[in-house]
Amino acid sequence: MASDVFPATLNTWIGGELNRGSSGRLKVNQYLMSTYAWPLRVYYLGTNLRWLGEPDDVIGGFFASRLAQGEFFGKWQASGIRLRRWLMNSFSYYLMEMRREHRKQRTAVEAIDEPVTFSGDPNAALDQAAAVAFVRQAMLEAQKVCESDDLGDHWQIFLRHHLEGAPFADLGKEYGVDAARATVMARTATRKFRAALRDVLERDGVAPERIDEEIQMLVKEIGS
Amino acid sequence: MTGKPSSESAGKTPWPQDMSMEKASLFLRLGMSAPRRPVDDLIDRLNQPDGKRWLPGALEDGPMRGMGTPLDLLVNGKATVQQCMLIKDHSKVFVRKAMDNEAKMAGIAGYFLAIAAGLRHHGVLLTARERAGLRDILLDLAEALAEPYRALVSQAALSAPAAGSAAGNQPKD
Repeated sequence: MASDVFPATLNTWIGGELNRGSSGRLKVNQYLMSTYAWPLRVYYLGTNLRWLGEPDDVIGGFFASRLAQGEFFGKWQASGIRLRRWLMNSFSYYLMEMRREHRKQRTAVEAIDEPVTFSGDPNAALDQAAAVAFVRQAMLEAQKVCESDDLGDHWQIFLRHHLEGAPFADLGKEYGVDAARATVMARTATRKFRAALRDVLERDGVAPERIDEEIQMLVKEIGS
Repeated sequence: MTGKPSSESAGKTPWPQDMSMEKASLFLRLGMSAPRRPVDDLIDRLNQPDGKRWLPGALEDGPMRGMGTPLDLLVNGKATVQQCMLIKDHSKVFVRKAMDNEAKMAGIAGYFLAIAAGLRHHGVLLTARERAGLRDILLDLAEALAEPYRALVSQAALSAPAAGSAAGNQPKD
């Protein structure tokens, strides 16, 4: 259907996948759930509507509802905002829909139609959670690339050095290489991770030339 | 692989709730791009299909012409400090006078391999110009090299000053 054809000019990966049909759509849906479920969960648990259900169920329902809509991504592209922000806004509407449904099934006790409110700054909370989720998603993708390139040990040395603080000398002994080689192996994996993280940010709607700026903003937002 | 992670959680991608903000910040910063340096052109050249084979001949026919093989002098450490300095200076001139990209890349390679040999075999830092980012440069270069050049450069990198560090050996120029 012509209306389902996604304008690929603005976001190459998502647009390209959606234009491939149902297999591409499935891939995009899996990607969105893998990357954005955590930020949406943090947002949901900060709202006054967190009584609507278990976070996993509510977020799963949201994705099922919205991702089935052919125009969902087109509307996001037209909005010009970050995908995480678009999803949070859409999720907020979804929560109101859920509450309306809930009310229909209940008595008038819950009839007051109060707006969705958030304890604190929802944008800051979303950005903090998204920063962590982006890092995790980039790790998953970079690990996959490393393993398919026969660089599984490179990935392990990278991750264990940066995540657990393991010295290269110790890692080198474990993996049967000297410290210098372990350092270079981690460097190779760093390059894969960097590329993956930048891809994740680009899919969120960040222009390639502004990715460093976005990273700096996220680092500032998480305050470390 | 000859070793295994020591605990069950070791080497596993953490769930978001298990990742501290400090770690997230560290990994985010790893995603920052760096300004392009002359060594990046050399790395691109080395990453071409013939890159690993190209290097020794390019050095012998280029900035090290008539001096001996890069394997003997730089990798095996037969060059004295003065010879390393000579190769480094000769390589700089070679880059300046290069008529084509291949010659320029050979000059850049000679320059950094001479510095690596100075650090690795003599514990002497032959340059002040690249001082701040030398460790990063050598690690990136090592990644693109084949053995035994990779071992020379990666081991030299470990004794090179890191970016922003005041440590390191006395620069010679």
